[in-house]
Amino acid sequence: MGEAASLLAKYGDRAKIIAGGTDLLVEEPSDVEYLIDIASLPMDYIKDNGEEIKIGALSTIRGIEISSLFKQGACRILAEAAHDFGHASLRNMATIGGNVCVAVPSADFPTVLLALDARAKLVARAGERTVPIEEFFVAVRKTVLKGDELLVEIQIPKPPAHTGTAFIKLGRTSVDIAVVNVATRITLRRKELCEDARIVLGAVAPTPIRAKRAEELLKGKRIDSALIEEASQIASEETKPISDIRSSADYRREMSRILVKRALRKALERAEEGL
Amino acid sequence: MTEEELLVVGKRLPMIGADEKATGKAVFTVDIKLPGMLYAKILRSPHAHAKILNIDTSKAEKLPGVKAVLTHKEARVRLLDEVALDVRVRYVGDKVAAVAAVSEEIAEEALELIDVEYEVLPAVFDAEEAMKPGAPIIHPDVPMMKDRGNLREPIFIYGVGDVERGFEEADYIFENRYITQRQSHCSLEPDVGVATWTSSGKLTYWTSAHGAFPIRSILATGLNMPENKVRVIVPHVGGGFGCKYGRLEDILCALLARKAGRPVKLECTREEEFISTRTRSHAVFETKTGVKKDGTFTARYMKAIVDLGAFAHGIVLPERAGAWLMMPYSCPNYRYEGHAVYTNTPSSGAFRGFSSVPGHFATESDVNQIAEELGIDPVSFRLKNRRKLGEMNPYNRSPIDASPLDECMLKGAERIGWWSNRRKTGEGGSVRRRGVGMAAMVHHAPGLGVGADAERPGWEKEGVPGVAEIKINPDGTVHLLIGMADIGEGINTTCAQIAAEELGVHLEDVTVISADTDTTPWGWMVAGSTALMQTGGAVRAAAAKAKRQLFEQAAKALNVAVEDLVAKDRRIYVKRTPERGLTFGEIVGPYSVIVFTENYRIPDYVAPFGAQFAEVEVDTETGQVKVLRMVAAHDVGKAINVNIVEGQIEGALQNSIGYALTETLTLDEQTGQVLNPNFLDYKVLGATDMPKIDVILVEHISPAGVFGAKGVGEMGAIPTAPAIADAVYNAIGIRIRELPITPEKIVKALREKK
Amino acid sequence: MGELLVKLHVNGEPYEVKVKPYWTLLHLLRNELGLTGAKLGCGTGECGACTVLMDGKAVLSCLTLAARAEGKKITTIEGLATGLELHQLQEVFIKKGAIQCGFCMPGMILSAKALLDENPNPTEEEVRRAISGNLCRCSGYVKPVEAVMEAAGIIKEKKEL
Repeated sequence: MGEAASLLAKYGDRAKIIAGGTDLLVEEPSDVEYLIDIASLPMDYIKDNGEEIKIGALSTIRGIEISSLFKQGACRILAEAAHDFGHASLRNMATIGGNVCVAVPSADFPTVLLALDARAKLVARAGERTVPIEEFFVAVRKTVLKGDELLVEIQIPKPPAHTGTAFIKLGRTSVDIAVVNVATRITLRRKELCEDARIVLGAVAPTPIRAKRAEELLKGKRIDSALIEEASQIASEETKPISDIRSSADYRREMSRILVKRALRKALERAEEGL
Repeated sequence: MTEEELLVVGKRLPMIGADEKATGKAVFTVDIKLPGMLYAKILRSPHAHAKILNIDTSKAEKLPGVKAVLTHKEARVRLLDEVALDVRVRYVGDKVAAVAAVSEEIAEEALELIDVEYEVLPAVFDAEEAMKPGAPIIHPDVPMMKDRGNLREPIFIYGVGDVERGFEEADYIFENRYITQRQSHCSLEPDVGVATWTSSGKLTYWTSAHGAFPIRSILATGLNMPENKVRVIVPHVGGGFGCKYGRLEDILCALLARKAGRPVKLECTREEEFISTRTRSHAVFETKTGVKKDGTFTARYMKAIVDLGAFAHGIVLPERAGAWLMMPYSCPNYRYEGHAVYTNTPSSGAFRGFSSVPGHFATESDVNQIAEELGIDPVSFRLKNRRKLGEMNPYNRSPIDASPLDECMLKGAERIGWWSNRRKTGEGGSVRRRGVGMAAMVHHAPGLGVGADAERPGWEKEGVPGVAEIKINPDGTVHLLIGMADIGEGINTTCAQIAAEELGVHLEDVTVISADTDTTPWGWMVAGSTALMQTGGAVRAAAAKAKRQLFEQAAKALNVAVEDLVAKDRRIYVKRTPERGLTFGEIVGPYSVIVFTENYRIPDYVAPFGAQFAEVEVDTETGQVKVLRMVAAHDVGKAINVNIVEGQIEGALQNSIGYALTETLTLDEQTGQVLNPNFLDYKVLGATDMPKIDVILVEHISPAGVFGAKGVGEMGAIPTAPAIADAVYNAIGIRIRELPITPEKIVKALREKK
Repeated sequence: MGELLVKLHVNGEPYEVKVKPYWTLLHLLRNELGLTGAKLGCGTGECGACTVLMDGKAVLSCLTLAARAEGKKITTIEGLATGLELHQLQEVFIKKGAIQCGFCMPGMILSAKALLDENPNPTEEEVRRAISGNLCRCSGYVKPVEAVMEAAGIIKEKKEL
């Protein structure tokens, strides 16, 4: 990792990190002269130490898809996002670190990780720091990574009991990038009584966003259909979608509402399991 | 030969050459690498409409590794109304210059060193806008309708009777407007050619194309060369679907090779495939229909406004779309007006179901709406109205038999559970609503002739022949030579089956060589659902002649009459005493061969009919349409190879469900640039998008087709969009009249309905 | 620009090749090693025509740098048959009429092999998912999916014998 950092420092903007290569070799940015291949660094792991889950930045999407740690519980949305990601060979190559660092609005893992209150561990020659995922994304294709920093690990705190999550991605065909993606998280104090909520949307703003007003609406309340409808409406109003070749802004806004509604229902259902 | 006696025809047999494809040994044009070969790239216009005032290639020519450069000063060749290289560009992506260099990278670098001074001209991207007086004129040298902007002369007008009187006699009038979109072929192998010259001036050109001889014709004409000095070879081809009929790029590739004195490969990138190869036309249809209360048509009128794009390679659509309006259903009064309009967009051209697909969306959607509103079931409506035996086809004034349509519709209806599943429209109340819909089709076949086609040079003339050469080897095995290209549709295999059946040998006894202008007989293109009928017919006729000669020689040797003999299982023997016979090898003898060539013309046009039924589920909140099931019932005449016939219909459905729901080549409204020239944003269906597919082969033996076969290459693509639109209507009570039927359109329509 | 020396195995054979750093594995296979089975269909990882197996896993060779193949075992379609004896998948694809133009087939067959190596008993949905990145314009995926299902059955039977 030190070598990677040195190379980054040496070549600055003329160099780029390459992991899976599934974005870099498509975009082919013309100002890049050097590629720093980090594929052999020991960053492909998924560990559970009881308090948090640590995912190495080079963990492939396929690895996340089949990990036994994500078959149930709140972190299952990682596997669900992996399931809906591209197609088989792409999942074998792409990494969670790549999906996070490329920071395109339609990326799926930023949305999921934001809903899980994840943290990003960055390493540089001068030292390391951990950044909450919520602060990691600055703008389209821009993160807080600076100088010779390398994303090495994603850390996910163990969610409290009675937490349910859901992830929904809307594409034009079954293999697609997201027109809108949504991740929700509901923690219940008891049946239907919401202790905490996260509503995260992707592809509707330059970075993934939390619909905080909608989240506030749910906290401490009894969640019923009407409240979910209201929260969905408010969430859609918090989005800043654009019109592009894939979708109109109007449709994205309306789909934000629909997907948040469906994802909240599902997260609630899952949170209620065992209550 | 009766049905039961067929031994090779009518079976599911593996395709010849499939093993090469399965092992990666099959050579496609993209795989060809010759010693000293150069790589060519085309400089393409960033402007939709401009004059080239000046072009300076001196820096490009000096770049080490660049071996030839062409501009309009060195190359000006014509194909229809398209010239390359021209002093004028007519769409974003139009050709400006061509370069050949020792590597692709250097060729690309050379393009960036070419300085072009453009005078940008006003451009127009919409056909209806382009028809207004005052619209910028794209082809000043082509005759246009007076004061109608870029509307080509003539407007194609034909019909029968008097529609105005028919409308007066109607109880109800229906008027509708439909819009269909540009669709890209997306063949997995891009357009590509490799050209090499000898010092004595012989050109050899390998190309991924629909046929060898039409390409030879284009090259010989463009290069002003005799045909015997141009050899075109079509190796394995990675898909065509109407895209690869021959382009000016073929001539440019040859010119670069001649100038450089080295072989040149010109291969399109995927992006170039999207922006610079021909598309299915954007089209607008306005229909007006008069019916009586009991569902009888009194008049049908259709106006088609077809966007040709920058060049007229797609002229057959506006010309012929009216044929399919008039053909299936009885009506005393028909009128069709086809408008062909230039715009500054990529040229349109042939695409599977060329003149039928867009118009069927309009005409079959009309029929479905009319049936519903009269309270008549759409299948029953069609059963009642389809042309009866003895009626004349108004398009080519010959008898037409629409009866196969009945069996297609009834079998398809039964398979999908039409009578129980077609509930009252829009019922359900739940978020996800299901519906079933259907549509019928009719299409082209060889022999259609007359009408507008006969007057137009360059396209299929009345009765393009099929040609085949049969050679019986000394040991009795067979070489079959055909000019037609096998681009995956399996013509090699079906022709081998026909030859084997006719001669009385096994399929593996026949080796097929195809699509080499120096060694095989002439052949047209794989197009218009004609290949099997034309070439297959020639194969059978040539095989029959060869068999006749074998019989004559065997009769002498066995001292019997020719009528006493039968050919089966590699032997010719006496019917009544089968042990008395000779093998083919014994008849032909060690030092001779038997050779016969046949030129064959189809006697008649026999319409192929069909019907498709769709079951869909519409998510009324997201607007997403999921096709659960497609039932495709098509009259194929006689399936020579059942796997191949089913494969054609199944593959066509992937194209046409995409046409109905997801595929559209999108252009920037301000600049005319293609916005989605890649698979990320031009959405073709993958394996997880496809519904359950049920193919029903109806076999109404065609009197015109070899062994009764009809051409099946396109039929599967034609009724799909209107069938799906009808199913969507059945699910949510809304008829969408613009393709593709996207979730946004459904959400918008549902919102407006409230 | 310097070249890198890459040592890799392709279809069981060891190779030592000099590659330019920006070459893709697809370029290496097609243009340097003459293995033209893997195809360039789009260059952006969307069509799957370039699919090969790297250490048994399906990958897109157009998005894999040649240098990344260092130390890896690559299987291309040319390596599937044993001499002239076809792999079961190839035999069934041929028999079922799943191959039309054939351009997508090297990639699709390898995707199917990767699936069956990991999951010998797939459902139809799992088969479709495994080839969802292999675009085909000819077949509608109908006979290819049938072929994979049938091949899975035959392979399983042969193992049990």
